[in-house]
Amino acid sequence: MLNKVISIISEYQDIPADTIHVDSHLVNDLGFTSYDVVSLVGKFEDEFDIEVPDRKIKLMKTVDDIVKFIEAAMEE
Amino acid sequence: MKNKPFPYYEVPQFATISELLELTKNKYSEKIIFRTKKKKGDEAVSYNRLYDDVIKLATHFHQTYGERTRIAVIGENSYEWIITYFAVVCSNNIIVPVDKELSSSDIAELLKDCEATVFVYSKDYDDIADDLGELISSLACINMKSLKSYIEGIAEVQKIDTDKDSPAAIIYTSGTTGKSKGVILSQNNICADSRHSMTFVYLYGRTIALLPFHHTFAFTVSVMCNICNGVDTLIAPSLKNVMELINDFKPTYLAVVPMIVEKVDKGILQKIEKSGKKKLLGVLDKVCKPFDALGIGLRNKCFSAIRNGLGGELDFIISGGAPIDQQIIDRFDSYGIKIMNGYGISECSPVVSVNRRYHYRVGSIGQALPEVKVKIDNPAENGEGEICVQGDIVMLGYYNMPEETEKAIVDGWFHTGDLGKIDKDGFIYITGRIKNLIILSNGKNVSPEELETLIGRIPGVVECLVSEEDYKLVAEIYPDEEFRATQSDIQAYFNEQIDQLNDTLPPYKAIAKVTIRDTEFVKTTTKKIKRTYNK
Repeated sequence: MLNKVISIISEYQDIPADTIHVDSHLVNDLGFTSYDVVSLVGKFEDEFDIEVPDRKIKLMKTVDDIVKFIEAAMEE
Repeated sequence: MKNKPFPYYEVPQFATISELLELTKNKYSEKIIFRTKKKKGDEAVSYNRLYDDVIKLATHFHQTYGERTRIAVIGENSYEWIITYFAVVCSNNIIVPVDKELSSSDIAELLKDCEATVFVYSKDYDDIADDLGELISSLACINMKSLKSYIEGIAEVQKIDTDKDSPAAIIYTSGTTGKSKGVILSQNNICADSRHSMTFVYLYGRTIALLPFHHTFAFTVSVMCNICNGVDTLIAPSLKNVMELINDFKPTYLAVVPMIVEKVDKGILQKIEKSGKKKLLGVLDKVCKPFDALGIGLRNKCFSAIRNGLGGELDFIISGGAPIDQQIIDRFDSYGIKIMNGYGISECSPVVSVNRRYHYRVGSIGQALPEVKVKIDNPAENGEGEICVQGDIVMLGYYNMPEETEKAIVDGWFHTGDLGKIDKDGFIYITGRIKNLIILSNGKNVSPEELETLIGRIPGVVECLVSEEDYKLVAEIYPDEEFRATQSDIQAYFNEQIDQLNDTLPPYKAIAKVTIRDTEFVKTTTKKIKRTYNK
């Protein structure tokens, strides 16, 4: 799961996967804007067949947050 | 073709929402105006249905809540959101569109301020409705799911007369002191701004309503103008899949904020770089230029690969809400996609000026719309001064703020707080701001003072300054020296504190970076922090 998430982030932001870590902050460390974060969540929805309400997106600050959110959503 | 005389487009006359809905129903009847994509199936709404739904819902609201009731609405973009807005106004009530990124307590503050007694919400906001129900005991909360049954329950519609000049909407906008101000707009304000905008820009074909409808720019262009011009409109509830929607729906035009254009631009540049065709595109651009001058459009064919990545039929983009980089406008121009940038402010319903397709000036925000006057107040020698606006697009005033209203509208001129100048042909140029508001590229206005007050409450902060850096909000803190000595890692301490503060703020107000300074900020003689000096 973590590797897949990192791979999607790497492709989206066009940055090497080895610079992305579990505790990387999307905005502070990886240069995401708020719009990027929303777009990225759209990619995760497609990839993992989950639905993320817009209001939950603000909870996704780090790579770890994303992984935990997706895992929980897939279990539901 | 640049700056050739270009006629105004013909626009029908309407001064109320019901006039707009009636005249477009008669003109377009079964034509589709709104589309939505839902998991349980796509939905298409005709002009006839839009009209019927609105007048029935207006009848229900009128029978249930009477007149002049403030009715707030919150939710993702949806057909239900639109008919709520229209039905409230057509029933002689006052709509209060609420920013969906606000917290329950912030919303409660707004609703109390405008004395709203009804709150219409979409299902994703049921927790907010629960919170508000507890905070404001007199508030009636209505789930948008109920609207269908209200509409079906009306056997006979009521004819409700509305006054075009009475308050129709209260739009909350960031105040410079942190307290939001309720901008009161009449139906005539909203309709006039839509009409004037359409005389400058011809909307046609298909579009996607991407921007949140509570954003005045989105409502005026993506709802009012699209209805008037018969533009087939796909309602996007979220910005999650913008590129997929564009490729799927193939819009002829888009109304967006610079942040979206910047992202699309970046994506195109990355693809060009990877394809190794950068030089070829440069050559194609040179080939097209002489034909441009003759009015022969080769760009659609020459740049078809790029255009196909945007659905293939995108003709133009209207960019509003914040300034856009001229280089991006030029690049899209080379692909054969015109970006028309303009200027607006909620107090002016909101569009004030726009660069037209064949009548524009590089670096300007266009000419004032027809029937709108713009002047520079107390111009300096270089012609620069405060931009002031007069006309039927100017708000009625700020809700319950007579002093603020008096300060803002002087002798019939609305003072925008923006600095600019006007050239001999009437093109307006923005040169700065009097107010300290930060305009983000997503069109959101942020008051640095509001955030500085909140940061100032963090233990250990003596002074702080919030500014914008690379489209993000950054805070610079001057800490208490004694407090600094008690902390092993002062940066980590403030990072954590700001993270906690961010959790309580709407995402667009979140501070992305904190820096610590060793000296006090430079001050003015009145002991205020000098913002420009300290940047």
